[in-house]
Amino acid sequence: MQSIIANVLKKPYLVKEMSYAQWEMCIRQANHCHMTGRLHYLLSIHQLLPFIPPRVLNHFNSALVKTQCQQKEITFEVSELVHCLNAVGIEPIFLKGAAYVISKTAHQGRTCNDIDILVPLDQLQAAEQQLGNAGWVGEHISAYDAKYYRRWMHEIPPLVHLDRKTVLDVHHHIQPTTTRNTFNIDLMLVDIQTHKLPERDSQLLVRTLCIPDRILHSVYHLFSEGELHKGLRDLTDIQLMLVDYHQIKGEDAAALLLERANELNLDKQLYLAINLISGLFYPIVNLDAYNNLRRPSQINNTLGYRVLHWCYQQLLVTNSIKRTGIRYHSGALFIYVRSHCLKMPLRLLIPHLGIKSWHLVKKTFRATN
Amino acid sequence: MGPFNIELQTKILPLANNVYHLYSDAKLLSELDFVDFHLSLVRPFGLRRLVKPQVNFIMDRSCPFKPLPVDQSCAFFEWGFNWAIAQHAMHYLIIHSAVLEKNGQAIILPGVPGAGKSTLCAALAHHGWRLLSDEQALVSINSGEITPLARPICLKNESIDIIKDFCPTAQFGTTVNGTSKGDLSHIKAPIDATSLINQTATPSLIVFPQYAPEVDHSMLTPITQGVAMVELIAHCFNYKALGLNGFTTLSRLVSQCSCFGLRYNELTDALILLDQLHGEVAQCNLS
Repeated sequence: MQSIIANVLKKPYLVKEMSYAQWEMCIRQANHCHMTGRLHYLLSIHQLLPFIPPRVLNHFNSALVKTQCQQKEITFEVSELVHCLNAVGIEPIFLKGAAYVISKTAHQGRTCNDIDILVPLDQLQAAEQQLGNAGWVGEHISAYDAKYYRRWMHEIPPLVHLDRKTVLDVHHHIQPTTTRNTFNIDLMLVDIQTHKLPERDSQLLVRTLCIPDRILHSVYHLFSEGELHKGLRDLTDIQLMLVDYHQIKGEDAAALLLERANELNLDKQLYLAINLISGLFYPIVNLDAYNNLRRPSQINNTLGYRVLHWCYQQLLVTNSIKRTGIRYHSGALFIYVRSHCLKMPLRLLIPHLGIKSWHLVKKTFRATN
Repeated sequence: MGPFNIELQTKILPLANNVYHLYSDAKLLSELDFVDFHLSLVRPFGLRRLVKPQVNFIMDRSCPFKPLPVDQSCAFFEWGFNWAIAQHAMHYLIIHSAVLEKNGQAIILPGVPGAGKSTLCAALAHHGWRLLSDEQALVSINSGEITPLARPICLKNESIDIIKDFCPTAQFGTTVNGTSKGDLSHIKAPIDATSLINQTATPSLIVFPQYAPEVDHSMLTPITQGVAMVELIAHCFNYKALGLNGFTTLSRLVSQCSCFGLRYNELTDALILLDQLHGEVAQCNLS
């Protein structure tokens, strides 16, 4: 079943004729995939807000109020974190949502439930210590999970601030250490962008990846996750970042971004994202240059690429509230299995899944007794 | 209910019956109406179906809460509905309080759990006051007016028997035992509350009730608007999220109200005091 939100993203002017029943489904889908605030922004750039019925607008406005509040809190936490870590000589790099808020790209209507930072592996222990002193503590997790995180993951178990309950993910790498085709993280750390936070402290310098790397990180993330709960939102993040990048770099943008993707070995993923964006969304940035620059046949014609493109397309346009159909389920299964295989070789994955299911069975029995 | 249309899906028969009973005066929706919240209460699959069965509250495929024992479904639905409003109605400042109305003037009764807010609310709702809401005062950001919800009143523990005696006409739903808040039961919103659901009210009184069995007689103590404002912030569900709008709405609300603390040991006295107070405030507003 095709989702209404996917239809609206492809043809925004459809909202002029939408019935209450269609709006209802649209809001439900948008809430479910964290897109309500973002959809409001996209409709605003096409001057379509006057076509939203007042009853429906309440839902959009509520989502906007919440994202604005979240973003204010994120800005506060970012300045606290920078102060805290700078005191011991660590300069964290903010990733994903927090980076979008600080850099004011793709922040429009963006929800951010947690903060992601990247610190060099050799400073990780000092960072954890300092964060602990400032009230960031790990939630209770099982000994097995803790060991699993430390041994195989690219991040430590999530930290939660004691008083403010904000969730913080501390990464020391972009990808899990078990991933095949690991890319060289040092390449991403060469070109770091600094931002000021005029709302909080004009002296403070906050670091994020540069725009092309933020785009590629988001692309990488989208195609390595096992489920696409927030996939549409992530894809619109990428689209909005492309708009800004193309505005800054003008005609060279596509060539520069492709070159960077090649360096980081993420060119296939970038192509997939560009193809999905041009296929699924109403154009707000001209993406033709990407196909002209490189013969798409080199990538587009392989069977693997086509299967992948088909699966993502199916999943992203399916009505997430009423998931049905063999196409959706086969696509979802494929992407789920693929993401696990990418992250972990089978010799690690199978014992891991075995142990996890055993823990689950034990937990269920304990809860029922 | 009031400004919100909801759809509830469940296969749990006792819950369906209870909702049918408590909400029997609510307007039924047609296909053409806009539904704000699609809620469902569903028993999870697996082993837990057989041993100590549980129930999940689901809205748009997400479960914001941990499951509860299936016997608590009736309470779970009301809590989930409260949550849906508090999360998705940012065009109101939402205060955790009871609100009632008489002659167009609304009284706001905020209260920490156990303060006797709902008991007082149930008593007032059956003695000449119109119930706007037992749990959530919806203060419009634009106008400052209060929009009715007219949902059932939630009574806990001893209050259930007290109100059964005090308001013989009150219609009780199923009693749920052993929740995190003790035993609780809902009473149906009186018919005037549901029939006048589209009539908003102007707030003119804020009274912080406190049940105090140790005092000799019930009494009202005036408090300053500043103190009331600070107290109320802690009672708001979405004050922080609303930012400046939250502050301006709340300060306008407080500045148009007279504010009191009420310590009461007996419902009859409390009702007399509040009726007198309402008369005085109404006269002040006239002159």
